[in-house]
Amino acid sequence: MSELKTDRELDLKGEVCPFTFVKSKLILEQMEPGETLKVILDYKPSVENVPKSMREEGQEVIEVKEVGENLWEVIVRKVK
Amino acid sequence: MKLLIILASNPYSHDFHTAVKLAESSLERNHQTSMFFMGNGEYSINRDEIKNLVEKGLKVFYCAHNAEQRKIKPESWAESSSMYGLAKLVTEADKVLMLD
Repeated sequence: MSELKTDRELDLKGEVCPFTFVKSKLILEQMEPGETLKVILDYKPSVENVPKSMREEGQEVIEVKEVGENLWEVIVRKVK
Repeated sequence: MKLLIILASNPYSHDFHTAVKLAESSLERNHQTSMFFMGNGEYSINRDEIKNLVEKGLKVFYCAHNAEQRKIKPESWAESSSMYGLAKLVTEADKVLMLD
């Protein structure tokens, strides 16, 4: 499967809750509806809770993928 | 009524007993009752008293970050949450009690 191309990328390695969500939300605020964001995470609790919080905010979570040892990518499309 | 009890106290403190008794009374009155565990309150999440309350309708949430820091693995009836989740629960509740 080819890798999804995203409009923006946010590397949050080393960050923990609540900064993982806060920083994702701040970058989404700078984006236009329809644009996509790739969030890179290395903290498992955030891999559960960033997508959950994004959905509750009304954004679309396209994919949550483990891409390496203790490394994940979350792809979000800005809806509003 | 929607009651939210936030427990951040150390284990085996009076607050745990208070939280359990309040939640029990609230559930008996058919109030929608939730408990959010954070900080050192997480050490109490897997206790039998909480499990018994879950069977009576208590909803349990916990800060996943605080649990990870303390190497606590909550039971499956507890829902993983965050400070964002807590903020939402607070806005949705009619009354919030913080035991810290």
